Amino acid sequence: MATAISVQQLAVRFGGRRPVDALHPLDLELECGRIAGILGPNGSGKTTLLRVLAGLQQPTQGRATVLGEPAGSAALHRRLAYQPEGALPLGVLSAPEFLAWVGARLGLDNRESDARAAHWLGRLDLQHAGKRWLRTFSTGMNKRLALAAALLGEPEVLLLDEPTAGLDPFGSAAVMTTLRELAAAGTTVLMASHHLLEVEEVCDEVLVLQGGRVRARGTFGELLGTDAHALVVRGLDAAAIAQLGETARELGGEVVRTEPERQHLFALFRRLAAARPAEGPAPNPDGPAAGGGGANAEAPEEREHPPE
Amino acid sequence: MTSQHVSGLLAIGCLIGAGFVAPPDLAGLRETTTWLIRPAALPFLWRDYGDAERSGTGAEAFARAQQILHLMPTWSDAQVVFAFRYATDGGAAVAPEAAAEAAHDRLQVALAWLETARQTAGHREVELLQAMSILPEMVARRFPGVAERMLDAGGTEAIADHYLAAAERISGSAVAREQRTFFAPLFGASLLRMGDRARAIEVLEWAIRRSRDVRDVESATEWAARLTEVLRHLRGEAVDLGAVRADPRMTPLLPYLD
Amino acid sequence: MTAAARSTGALAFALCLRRAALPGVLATGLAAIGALVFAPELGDPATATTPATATGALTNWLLLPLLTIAVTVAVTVIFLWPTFAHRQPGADWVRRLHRGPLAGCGAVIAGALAAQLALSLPLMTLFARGLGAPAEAAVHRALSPPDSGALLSPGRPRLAFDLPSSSAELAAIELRPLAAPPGATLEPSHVAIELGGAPLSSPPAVFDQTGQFMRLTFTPRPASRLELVLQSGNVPLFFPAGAVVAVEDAGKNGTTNGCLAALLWLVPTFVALAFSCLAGAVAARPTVLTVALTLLVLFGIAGLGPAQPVLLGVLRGHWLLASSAISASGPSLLAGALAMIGAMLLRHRNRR
Repeated sequence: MATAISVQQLAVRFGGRRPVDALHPLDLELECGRIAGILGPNGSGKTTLLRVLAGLQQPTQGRATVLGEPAGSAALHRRLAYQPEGALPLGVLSAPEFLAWVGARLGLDNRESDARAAHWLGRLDLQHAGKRWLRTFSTGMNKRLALAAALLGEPEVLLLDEPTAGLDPFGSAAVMTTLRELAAAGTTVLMASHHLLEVEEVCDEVLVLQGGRVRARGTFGELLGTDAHALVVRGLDAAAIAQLGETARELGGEVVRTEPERQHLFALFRRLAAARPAEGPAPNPDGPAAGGGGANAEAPEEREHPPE
Repeated sequence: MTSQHVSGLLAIGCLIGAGFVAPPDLAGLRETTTWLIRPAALPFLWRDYGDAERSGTGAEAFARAQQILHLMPTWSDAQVVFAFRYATDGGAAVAPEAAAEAAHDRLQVALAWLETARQTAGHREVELLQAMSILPEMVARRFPGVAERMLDAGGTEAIADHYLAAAERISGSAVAREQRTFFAPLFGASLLRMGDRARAIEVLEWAIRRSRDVRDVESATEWAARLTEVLRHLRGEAVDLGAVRADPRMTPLLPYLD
Repeated sequence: MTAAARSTGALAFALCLRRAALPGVLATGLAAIGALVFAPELGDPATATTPATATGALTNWLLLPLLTIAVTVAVTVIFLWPTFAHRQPGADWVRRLHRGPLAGCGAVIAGALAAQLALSLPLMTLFARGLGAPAEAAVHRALSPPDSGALLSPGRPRLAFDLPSSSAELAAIELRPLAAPPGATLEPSHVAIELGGAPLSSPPAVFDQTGQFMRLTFTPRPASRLELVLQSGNVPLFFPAGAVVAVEDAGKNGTTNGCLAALLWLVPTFVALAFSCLAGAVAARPTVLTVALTLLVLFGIAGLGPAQPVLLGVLRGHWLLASSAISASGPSLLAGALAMIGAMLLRHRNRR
């Protein structure tokens, strides 16, 4: 499979009287159609790495290529999209106006730009935002619009900085679902996040940074795999469970713990949100909660348990 | 109606009530506003005035001066300077008749401006009036034909005497009184020039009477003696005018003594 | 904002137009009231003989709405565009989408200037006319003194000036000499004018004090040479550059003059935004705002650059293309261009 992102001995040092090494020399290869997560505490260099790949920061040493082109090259203007963390610019525009401006900057034909904008606004449940100014959007709406804007040019490589920070579970689930679909369609995604569960859920591989250095790298199987297997049973009473434990011990195994089954918190949240129509004005059990921050309900259908 | 509405209505009511009980002092408000604007605006207004002096017309400079004086209405020295500059400005090189007409009009405007300035001059009003008494004569000397246009008002000296009288009335000071007294020869000469000998005699008699109040007794006595000789000559008596002709204070009257 | 405004410049234009329109209208209303209430108490028939009247003194009232619009436009774009100041939210979005060295600041400035032009055109044409600007603008050409000297005195009673080569006929001459004290009792100097060797029929100008302004109007005629002749008097008169102004007969359209004025009044805003762009490479928004507002105040109120000559030219009815406003614009435009180049270099360095 072709390489989407290639980084060799890339380092970034911020100058000044007290220079700071934001990134120590690191290497990275990411194949097309993969989703990779960058994890690490604040100040570990996640955003710096993404900004270098987006062409917004010149590296102090080393080189970075995206889709075979040097990072920051004009050829990547539409092929690569970067969703920075934080607020969107032009807060006095509405969502369609903002996407129209982004489309124009990406060189899209007006009609095509409008069609794509309508698609992503609907897909990310922003079609009701209407003529509201961006500066009045909730954090979740901002994040979803940012993703829509990043996807407007149908990029081959997507760089995301904290794409779900501040989103409610529905919003996060919608974003994760979208990312999986994009990866399935061949888009390469590199995302920095503090949401370990989400990264674990959606990413194929992970890069752990700390202090600008790579602490761990690989697939989840490589990083988290053990020889142990777990058995989950349902429908047995206490006596039967005790007997099952006895059998396991006889077979040479070890019963690590026995605990009652509990639903995931997400299922509870979804159920409560779905019950809101009786109390509020937004009768949309599959849609978002009124007032922004919601997302479509494709993801929650398939997951009522934490990933295993 | 919520408690907020009630509070709002109460506040408005109190405001209106306060307005009735203690009406706002508009003059004070204007003074305060002027006081606030003055330091910020004056440097730029002065610059604009300088521009007008360097590259604009006399009328433009006077208009700029008025903007400065709107902010400093009690600055009577400046009122005088600006009005004098405007009144004595040439403006356009035109035929003498038109130039005299224009100069006469400018004089009227300048005097009207200074008349307005009297209202805010305070204790400087007397100085303003004394300056106003000089202006008509200055313009008349500079622009031939203006003096004739002022004859309907009794001539420039009559206008000057009018302002000096006002100054004397307001101030009540010996200086103002003496200034008007010593103006009499000029005023008398003006009346003689216009052929009003009887009125001229009246003015000179009046001046001689007032000379007794002049503080410099010796000088006043001598001056009154010269004036008495002129008076006698005007009445047709035979008088030796040698001393009169030698006294520079009598110079304005000399052309009418032969 | 319409969806049609897709380009950055068009966005800035639409937003500035919307933001500055109401303050501009309010300031215009205030200026109109001010001009009425504080009108010069002249009633000046003297100026009826002089085409140049006191309207030049009304620049303050024209300045008020123009400066309001310029300030609103500048503040609007500084708040609108994240790359105008250092480390603003959304700046990375803009840098990704605007790959140029100024990250879109140039387009935003262009849009803002277009909005200001749209708003100031009616002011410079209609409102200025309402204040009393002449319907026709005259070409005023300041003459340079001859190399041999610029003194007119009894010992040197003739002074010749070469007129610029122009097909237009002359209609008036304006004189503003500096006067020196005479050697004897003052006798006002009477100065006559000869055009192309032929004396004018208008009465001579009489001078007896320094800085005195005289306008000699005559039947329009072509001329290539102007001579000042001291007919009588003993006040020495000095005519430095600009003390003699030839006024051409061909009147230019006052509305066109107003349009030129609106164009020239973009220079202060351009310079203010260019320096803001430069400052924004390293400074946060409050500093950038301070830079912009300070420059606009310096231009608009303190008389830096072409702002004041433009207003004077419009209200006095001086054709701006032949006025000092053009020469005053040059250094300002150069400073603005240098600031933009500096901003490009600084921002390029910051990316490293």
